[in-house]
Amino acid sequence: MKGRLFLTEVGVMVLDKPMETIVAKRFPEGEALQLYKRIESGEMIPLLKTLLAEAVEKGFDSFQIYEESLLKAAADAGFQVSSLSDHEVERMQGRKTALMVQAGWVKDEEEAQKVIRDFALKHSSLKLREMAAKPDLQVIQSVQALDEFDRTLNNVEARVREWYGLHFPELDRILDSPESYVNLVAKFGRRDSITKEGLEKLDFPAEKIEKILSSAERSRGSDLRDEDLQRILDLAEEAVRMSGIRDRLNKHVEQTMSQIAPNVTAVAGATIGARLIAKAGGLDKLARRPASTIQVLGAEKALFRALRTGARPPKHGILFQHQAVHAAPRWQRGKIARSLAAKIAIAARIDFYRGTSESGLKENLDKRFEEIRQKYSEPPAPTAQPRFEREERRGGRGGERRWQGGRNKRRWGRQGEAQKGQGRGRR
Amino acid sequence: MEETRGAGAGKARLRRVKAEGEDKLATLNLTPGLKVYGERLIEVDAAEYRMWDPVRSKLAAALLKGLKNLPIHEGGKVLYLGASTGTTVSHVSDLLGESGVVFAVEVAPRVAREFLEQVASKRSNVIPIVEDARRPERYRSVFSKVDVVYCDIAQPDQTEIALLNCRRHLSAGGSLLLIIKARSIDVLKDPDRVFKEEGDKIEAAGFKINQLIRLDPFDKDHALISAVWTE
Repeated sequence: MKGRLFLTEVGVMVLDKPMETIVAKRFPEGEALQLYKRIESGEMIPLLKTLLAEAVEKGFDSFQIYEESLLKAAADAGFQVSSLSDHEVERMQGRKTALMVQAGWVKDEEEAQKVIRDFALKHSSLKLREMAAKPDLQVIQSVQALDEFDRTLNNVEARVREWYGLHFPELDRILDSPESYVNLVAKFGRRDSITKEGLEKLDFPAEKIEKILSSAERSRGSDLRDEDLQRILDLAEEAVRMSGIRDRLNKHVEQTMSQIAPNVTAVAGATIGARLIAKAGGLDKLARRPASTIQVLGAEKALFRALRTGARPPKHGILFQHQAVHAAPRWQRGKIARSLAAKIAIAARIDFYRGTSESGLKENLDKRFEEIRQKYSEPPAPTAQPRFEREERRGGRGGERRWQGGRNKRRWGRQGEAQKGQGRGRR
Repeated sequence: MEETRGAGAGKARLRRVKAEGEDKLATLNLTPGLKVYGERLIEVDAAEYRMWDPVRSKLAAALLKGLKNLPIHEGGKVLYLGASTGTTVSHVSDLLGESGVVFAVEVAPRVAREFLEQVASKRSNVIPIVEDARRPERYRSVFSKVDVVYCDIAQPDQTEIALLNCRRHLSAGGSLLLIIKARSIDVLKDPDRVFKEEGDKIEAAGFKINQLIRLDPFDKDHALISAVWTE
């Protein structure tokens, strides 16, 4: 007699085809979820072995099993097995509550329903807990925190520059880096408190120190009241503190990325890799994306505009931030972005499915970049035919810019979104 | 009428009420005193009802736009795909009452968490399933065929997914309520054409379409198709 193995929330049973003879084993109190999951993942737990052995005694000589992973384990344990069809499982599923009563596990179908629901609640919670433990969720949160923090920090620094500029306008031109600017303000306060020794301690080069001191003496800025100075100092000190948080966040992204996605990190860099993972919704999702999608992640607006209106599709989204792309001459960028995206796709798949570092990815990519740079070192000649037909299909911003500035300018004039998202590109 | 138990026995589970001069919907609260998404609670005929917001819930929008013969009845069984945070599921749960059951499928962890906390754990007729709607064979908790499959998922192949679920879990003569998101299926195509094409797919699968309702102004480029499996 052939028996069908049926895994339920309360226990496991073996049934004959008409579902009359039942050999059943109930999970011990409190262990249902754990045992259910172990069986589901193909483990021949003792309870299951005992059940099948008992079933053999009752006259079952072979078993049909639905769970594929379990098939092999049961065969290894010495049982005659074959696989059970979808349709047959459905039949049993559909009678589950009745079968539970028949097995003597619950007193009626209503109680069976209640047990099934309680199990579903616990099972779902456990699944969510497992999903939330994925390390790429940590990366997503930290890189998004980093990007938001950057924006805030930029604002505060820009405000300090503006405000302090009333008092010492010349400093703006001398100090480019926002960090050193706020550092200086936080340390000295008024311009006449700036000292040579103090500047040396902040590691400014000698010529800068000279410039700062001399322009402080002859500054055209206004005086500052104490209250105003205090508020500027508050902001400057806050910016210095935030800068520290920002650096720690950045380091955290780099560390986590090199653990969970070493190959993506090698090819794209930690921050850009992390942004791609965030945009895709996880390393698993990024690994399943085609390179062409990765190439334009972050430029959805431009992409859909292109699809809708027949305008030129974007060449790069988040990838524009990669040094190899934005430092390249415009006509090479699309090619570079494409090869970069292709390599990232490969890297993400290795990271997700294999999890080991692969050597040579970065080197091959750099070689390819070099080929592109040499082969396309000259800008392409303007196209011979004016593209009237294409122009008509273009929508969006095409209209007013149509014939301005020559053809080449127009060809390249569409990086919009990616550049806007740039921030000031620290590192 | 089927037997009813618990709070509000014998009361209408769905009501049209006048509020601020407008027709609004409300469902009999299965869990008196508890709100799900900040909706207003009102007292009608000594029973507590929850206001049903058509902006938050597409099923409410469809009802207000003229959906006839809502197939979700007291004591029925519903397979709900795309439960999200459970706004609509909670009203479906109200409509089904204690004797009904809704199997609610949601795969995205972020919203599923909220759904479990706010809806599934508090309503005894809701059975949560954290699975991909593309794999209906994995819903181990579904213990019987259902009367209604309700599908509200944003996927380009959402109609195929709904049909896949119907084939496995819908009883003969059961109903399909399918929310069509034209923009999820094809951003470029004219929504009306998308509705037509998806409707054709449903008919080819053996369904008879009773109604197609556009959900604007509540939801732009969305429609609900109400169909019955005649095969």
